[in-house]
Amino acid sequence: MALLLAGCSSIRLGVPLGASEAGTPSGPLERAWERDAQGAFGPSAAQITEAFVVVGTRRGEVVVIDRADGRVAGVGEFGESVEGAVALSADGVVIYVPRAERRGGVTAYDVRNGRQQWRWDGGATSAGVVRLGDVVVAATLDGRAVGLDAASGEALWETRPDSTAQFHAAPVAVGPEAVLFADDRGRVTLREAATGDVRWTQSIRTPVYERPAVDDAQVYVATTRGLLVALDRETGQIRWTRDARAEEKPRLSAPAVADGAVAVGGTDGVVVVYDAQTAEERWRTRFDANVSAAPLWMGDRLMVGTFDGRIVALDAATGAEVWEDDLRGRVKSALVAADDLLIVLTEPRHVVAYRPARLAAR
Amino acid sequence: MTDLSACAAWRRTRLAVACVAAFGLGVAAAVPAEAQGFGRNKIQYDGFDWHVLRTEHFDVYYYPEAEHVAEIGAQQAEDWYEVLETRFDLSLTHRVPLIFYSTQLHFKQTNTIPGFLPDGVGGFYEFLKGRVVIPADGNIQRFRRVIRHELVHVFTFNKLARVLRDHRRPTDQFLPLWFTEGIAEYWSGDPDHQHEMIMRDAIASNFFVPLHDMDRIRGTYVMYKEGEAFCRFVAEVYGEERLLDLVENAWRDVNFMRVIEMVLGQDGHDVSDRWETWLREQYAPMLVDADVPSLTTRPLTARGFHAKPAVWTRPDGTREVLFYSNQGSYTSIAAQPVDDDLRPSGPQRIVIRGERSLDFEAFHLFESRLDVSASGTLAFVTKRGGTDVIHLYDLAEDRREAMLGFDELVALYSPTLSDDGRWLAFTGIDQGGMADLYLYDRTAGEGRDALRQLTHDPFDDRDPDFSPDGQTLVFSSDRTAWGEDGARNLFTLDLASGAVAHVTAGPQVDLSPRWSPDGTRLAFASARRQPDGKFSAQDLWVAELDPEADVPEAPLAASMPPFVGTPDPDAEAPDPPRARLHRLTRFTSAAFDPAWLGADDLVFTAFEDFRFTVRHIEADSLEARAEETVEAGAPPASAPWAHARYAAAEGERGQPYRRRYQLDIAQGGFATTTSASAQAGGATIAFSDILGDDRIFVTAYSTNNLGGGRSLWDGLNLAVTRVHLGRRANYGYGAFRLAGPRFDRTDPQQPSRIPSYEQEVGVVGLASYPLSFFRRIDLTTSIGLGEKTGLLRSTSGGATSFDTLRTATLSNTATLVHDNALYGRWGPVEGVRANLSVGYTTDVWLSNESFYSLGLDARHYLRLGPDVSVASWGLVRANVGRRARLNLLGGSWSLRGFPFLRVRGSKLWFTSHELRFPVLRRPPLYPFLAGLRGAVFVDAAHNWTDGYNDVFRDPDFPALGDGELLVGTTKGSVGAGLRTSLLGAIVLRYDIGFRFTDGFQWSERQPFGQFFFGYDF
Repeated sequence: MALLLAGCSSIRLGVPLGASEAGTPSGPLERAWERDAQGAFGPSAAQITEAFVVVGTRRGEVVVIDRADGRVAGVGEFGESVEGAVALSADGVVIYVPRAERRGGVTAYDVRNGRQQWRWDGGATSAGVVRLGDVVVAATLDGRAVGLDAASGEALWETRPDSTAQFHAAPVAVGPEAVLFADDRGRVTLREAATGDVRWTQSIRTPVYERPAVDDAQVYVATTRGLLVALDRETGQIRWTRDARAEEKPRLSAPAVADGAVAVGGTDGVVVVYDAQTAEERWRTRFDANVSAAPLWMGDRLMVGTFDGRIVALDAATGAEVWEDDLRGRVKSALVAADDLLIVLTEPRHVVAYRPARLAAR
Repeated sequence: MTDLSACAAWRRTRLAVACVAAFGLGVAAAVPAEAQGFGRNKIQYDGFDWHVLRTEHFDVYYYPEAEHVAEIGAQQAEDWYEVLETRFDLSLTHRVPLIFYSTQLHFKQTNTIPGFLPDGVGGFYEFLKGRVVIPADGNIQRFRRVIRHELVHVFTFNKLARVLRDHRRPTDQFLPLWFTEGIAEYWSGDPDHQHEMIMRDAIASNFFVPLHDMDRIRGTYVMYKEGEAFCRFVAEVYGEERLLDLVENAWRDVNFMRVIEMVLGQDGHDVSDRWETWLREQYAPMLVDADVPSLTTRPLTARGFHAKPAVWTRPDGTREVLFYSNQGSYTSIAAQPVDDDLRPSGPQRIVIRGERSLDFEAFHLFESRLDVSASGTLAFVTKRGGTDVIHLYDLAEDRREAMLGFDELVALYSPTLSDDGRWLAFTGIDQGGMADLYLYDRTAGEGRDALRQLTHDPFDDRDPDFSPDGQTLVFSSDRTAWGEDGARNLFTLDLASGAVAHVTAGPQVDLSPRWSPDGTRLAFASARRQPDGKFSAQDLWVAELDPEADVPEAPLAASMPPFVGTPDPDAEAPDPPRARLHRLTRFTSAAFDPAWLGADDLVFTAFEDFRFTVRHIEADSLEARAEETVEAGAPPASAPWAHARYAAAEGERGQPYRRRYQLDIAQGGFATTTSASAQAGGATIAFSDILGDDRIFVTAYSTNNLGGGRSLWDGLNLAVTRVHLGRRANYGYGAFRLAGPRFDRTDPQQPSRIPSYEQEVGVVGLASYPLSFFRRIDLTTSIGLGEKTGLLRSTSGGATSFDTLRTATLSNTATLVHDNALYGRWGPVEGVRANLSVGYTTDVWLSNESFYSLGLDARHYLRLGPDVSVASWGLVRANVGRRARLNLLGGSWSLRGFPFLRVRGSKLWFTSHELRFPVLRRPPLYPFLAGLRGAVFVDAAHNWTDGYNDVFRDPDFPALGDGELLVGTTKGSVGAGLRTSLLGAIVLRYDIGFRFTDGFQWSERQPFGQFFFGYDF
């Protein structure tokens, strides 16, 4: 029993995580802290809340880090691997953790007292989960979309795959009531979160492994074969497509959209920015190594993490490199930022926080 | 892309020598003859001047002669790196060493891995240091494909390592070999004609191996191609991305079948069935109207491997078909007489016995054809030392006429003789790795004018054949725009002008042309591109040459004009092909190397059921009702393909190689027992440079189980040895300290079962010079300062007393080693291996010991059948002189029925004979138990020691009656045993027998049983 207890750990913060935050730190950046998470990361970004940074690891843990000083506030074990995005309740009390192992699923966990709220063992959930209202939506590796009651974990609805299609891309909330799925057969579907009913479905015929991006008018889907597709958010109609120019089609990163511009990286090291409405290419730049991590718009800068271990800020208008920092290893996970914080996940297992220089100096 | 199962023992032997230096020089000094072993020799014939070219992602190692191919390889590697960076979603964070050789024969000398590299190995990725090692060998297209293949391995290995580390899994987990080779084949280019050949045959002959049984074909060529087919199946049915998913999800389960199930979302057996169905749907339609060679052609050979036929018509008109022949043993050139109906008319005879001597070290079985001139001279190529040689052999006189080697050429292939025997044409690969055609005038003596280079370009020109009039050569080459994709066409080279012209043109693979006796037709093998892009079966074709063509009638010797070495660049463009092509066969699998047997018949190599046999067809009648007749095709509009070379910036050219040692192995262990208050621990560290030429071994071992207040230092054993393998003469040196309690059974002065404390400090020198692949001389010298304390007998044979013996022992040994034995899974199966050693050991300080050593160990293996052999072993050892050390026998390894190392004598002889035979080829628990074999044996030995026989009273061994080990008598045993092999790697043996003494006087009625593990002697 002692061994069992010694081998377990939990998150007992005593307080909620706080609401999720998103924002744009301005000005020059400085490294604020760096923390060894003791486990590598999947392609999803960390979550930033009012007081903490939450990140899942391939060691099967969720690590909660104090965003002020980088101190580890809690570590919870959730299985063999947490690959996908972790979701939070609106009040930051409960985290919904996707478990990627063979008999995985989703676990709801109260971070205040370290108690498991419920556990759904419906299958490997690599892509991640999203919470919309009272429903937690998950996409499983074997191609099922599931809506779970956020309070009990009961399956409210579930779709059965009609082929060997799989979900690798995390589901995305589209407004307060709909959730977007994209599978590796290239089928993109918008469903009602509460019922699972299909609003529209569209086939782009190439596999989607990365999380789509959404703005007010369109959803943007990047594929593993160099294709970026913009779909009408309301109807699913294809608005435009752009194909990579390379002979060997790159796997594209998850796209990032802001202020009428959509950016996408690729395994060929190319980052391209298109006009979101016209699909006109604004600029492109090429790095020496892969750009598989989703880039991140931060005001007048586009932040890019590369496989040769760099975090780079590009001028949003021209693509010119304006700032960079060397990291320990490859950047494979999406970047995320709040008003005063940029979080970068790097190999082998490190969480790096940047702050505007003036804040770091305080 | 390598099957290293053929790794022979020579390197192990050398390391064993080094290990002897490191671990047991005290033993080596005492009984030096036992320190020598067997094994063949990997010889460094060429002292390569290595340079390093740094590209963006690679360190390219090359020597000046190989600079051209290294630049081609470097560019290909950089180009493919970009492709794989995307396919694997991975950028490498370290530089990858690429080691390029210009030729296969240079590549065989590499020290980056132990063991020997057979011809079929096109390159390999060695993951200990992450090295990629590849030869060019004249075929740039193949060279580039192998680079792509090996880089897939690099990315797979690094991706897997990253995935396993990310998920905190042990990084010693590997993907199955069939998958890693399959994905390497699949992601290195389109399937080639050999892929189609293997898969068609697998379906037609029904040897297709399902997914869950792939281990059964581990390491075989079939495994590569089935693995490639599986990856293509996954990509086409489930999506290309699922291939990477298989790697990225390897962390989920050590059982790869479960990973497949998870990634593909189906039961593993369903996936396998679906794959097989997918394959059958593709290949079954092709087989509907196809002929099975064994049903539609007549065999000249039916069992074993037989290939590359050539025909000799004797002066009396009788005919023989000659070919390479291997029936599970050494490869030979055999001759099969045929009657007027072209049926075998007698037993095969062996013309050339290969693979047992320097001159016939190895044939290039799949690369080099045989040829017989009208005058009865057989031309063939063997590897001889560091280069190839051409042998000209008078078949009528059964003697060798000449053996030709050329300083400027490393490898030689497919010699062809003019009918009068004066001219010899062949493919030669120069030091830079370029394959071109050469012409040799046998009447020109040994001057430089005797050899002329006919082509001089980067294209791969192979399999030349003289026209009957001797004016023209036909050959196969990739010198077209299609060549970049692996296509080959037939060309003629006019010997008068040097002009090269198409015979065939198109994206197919045309191989091995042979002129018909009347010079109007060419027989050749061809795999054609089909509308779906795949290759057809490789079938036999005949090119019917334009009868309007001007064919000179004068014999070559009379009409040969002064030859211009290279084609005239201002010559007119080659004429379009003027031939009609008739497809003679539509086989299920493949046909190779046709040769005319008279005017209307062909002999050829058939590939069917994964076997190569030589068969006969009537070409004339088949041509009359040809499967297909097409025009020869139009020459390509675009220029021949060109290869891109890495353009290093000024000042960034290759720099001379500087040796840096990197860690190979670091292992340690520690053991303790509280009950006996004993502790022991040790560590071994090995370093080598990137080329593997220099190695350093460091070993430390200590035990505190000494008693008597001795310290840790008193039990510390330490050895450091450096071995240099980069030149033909290998050498090594080292220093050692041996210390601890020791019960030395070889010491005539040490009473039984009472250990003494001994320490010795010294240095050792090692040298080894290979005379040939099969023979070498090993030299060992050492000097050690020793001190032994304990109960010792006086040297005069008197009483035993507590004493300290100090020595300064100088020991020198020379050994001649010969080994041409063939090895099977259980040990040697055929051939001879022997060593003869002489040594002298003396105490240069107090003359406490001074003796000569002589040893002869000879083993002969006679093969009675494919799996049955008789092994005979004779051993003589003698140490003569003051305090001569004792030789040891006993145990399952040598004298069965007698305890391990208990039969001792300063002089002894020993003999063992064993009949080995199969019992079960697939026993229960196969492949965990990879076979069951039996043996009956008889062992005998005689040992004696002048003046010391009383030492051998041994109370532990009363079974032989009087408590002595029968010194001075002949003793032995007879019995039988069983052997099995765990996973094909560890051989377990159990013998039961009866002991006997002089004159077969049985000393006991009960049989003995003895277990042992290790290969047969």
